[in-house]
Amino acid sequence: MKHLKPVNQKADRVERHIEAAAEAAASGEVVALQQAPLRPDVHVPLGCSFVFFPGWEVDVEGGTAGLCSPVERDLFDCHLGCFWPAQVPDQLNHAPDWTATCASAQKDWRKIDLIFP
Amino acid sequence: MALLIRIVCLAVAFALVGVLAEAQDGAELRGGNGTLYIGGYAGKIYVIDEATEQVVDEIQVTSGIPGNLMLSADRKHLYMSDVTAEFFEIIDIAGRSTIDSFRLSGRYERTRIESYAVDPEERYALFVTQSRTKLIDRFEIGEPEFAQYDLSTHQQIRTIPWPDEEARPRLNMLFSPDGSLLYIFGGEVVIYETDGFTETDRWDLSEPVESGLEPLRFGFSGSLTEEFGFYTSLFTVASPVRDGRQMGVARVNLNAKEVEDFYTLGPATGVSFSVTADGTMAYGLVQEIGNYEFWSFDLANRRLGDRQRFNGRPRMSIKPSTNGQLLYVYGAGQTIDIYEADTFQHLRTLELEADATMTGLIVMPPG
Repeated sequence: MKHLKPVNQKADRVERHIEAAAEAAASGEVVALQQAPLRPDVHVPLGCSFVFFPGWEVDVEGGTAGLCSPVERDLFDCHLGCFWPAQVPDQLNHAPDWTATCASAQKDWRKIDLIFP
Repeated sequence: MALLIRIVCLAVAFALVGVLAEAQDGAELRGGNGTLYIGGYAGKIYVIDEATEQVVDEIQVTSGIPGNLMLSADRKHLYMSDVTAEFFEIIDIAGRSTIDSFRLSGRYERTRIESYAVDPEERYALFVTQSRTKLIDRFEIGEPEFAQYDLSTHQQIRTIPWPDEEARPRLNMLFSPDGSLLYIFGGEVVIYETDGFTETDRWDLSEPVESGLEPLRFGFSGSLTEEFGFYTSLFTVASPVRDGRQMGVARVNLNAKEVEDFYTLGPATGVSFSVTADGTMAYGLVQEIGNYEFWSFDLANRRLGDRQRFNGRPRMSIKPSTNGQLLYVYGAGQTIDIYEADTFQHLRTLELEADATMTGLIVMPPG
């Protein structure tokens, strides 16, 4: 992981969390999640998705020609299994009924529900 | 000059008549008298009459959005797991309704059904499951489990030993038609008897088909088009005289544990393969960014058929119609595009009410 460099605030928080956890483990301190208040820099749930897979902003070749066109064709399949939890609602945990009011993303895109985290 | 103009006009007129005639033929071409089934994000399974290409019925599932669909051995029921992989549902096709639905999850434990196979007499089902238990401060992920469940009581009857004592997150399984044997496909085909689920036989796929060739790599799936135990598909094999892998078609006889027929077609290419009902042809798609092709395989004459580039899109799947004259291209969206199999000409598009899920398209022949 040393070759990766955070380029935004969220990535920076992730890196600081990992370093803090490593320090805590080395010092024997264990912080359980149920203890309150949480440390101010630990409020981003980690490990929601265990997949790093190109295919949202870029395709496997680094371009856009391989992405579904229009993107609405693939929208609901991307929502399955918490595959793209940052880009589309998470189907397994927080938004299982996202497609209830609109079942065809390309045809009825105006009816797609907005989900706010 | 006037004569020349007249000749040109006549030639154009004849050409137009020819085009119109072809278009008329395409418009009249139908895929057969079967029935198509496909799941959608509206929580329904759509029933499509192949002759009219109309959605004639909808099956409202009870456990959410259809994620995986499989036909029963007697073709009277559909087995479905939903997109959360927690629910298992049995649907009566004729009645268009759910006859049973259950889940294995508890209040703090989510058990996902990763693979399943149902006894041909529907007395029990085999599930490969994995559980996640929410504790006060963490989730615990359990080990995969392989177990037999009674379909009438929904209770676990027994756990089943893993092939080679190796737990796996999912299994590709098939029952024999009489339910006496269970085939588990992996690096080898492991065969269990179904009284005590002990291993009775296995087929070592590491043995080469012919001397000088490396072993074939292939997998099995239940097929509507072939007699049980026979499986025709594309295989790749390393060639002793050429670089890279060669692609070929093989017909495997699972009952006799042998490769009945095998022939090579050329350099291996990433292409799908779907056999027609009469087994004489197969069709597939090459899907590369910027390059989408139809491929046909003349199985009767053991050769590669026509190939044609077309304006495709990512994530397509293909199935031939029951009479083999049409090709259905579906997946990622609410459309089923219909092409003529002989010419790969796009004929029309069937639009569904909802985007199709990953259940795939079941093309069931009549009768």
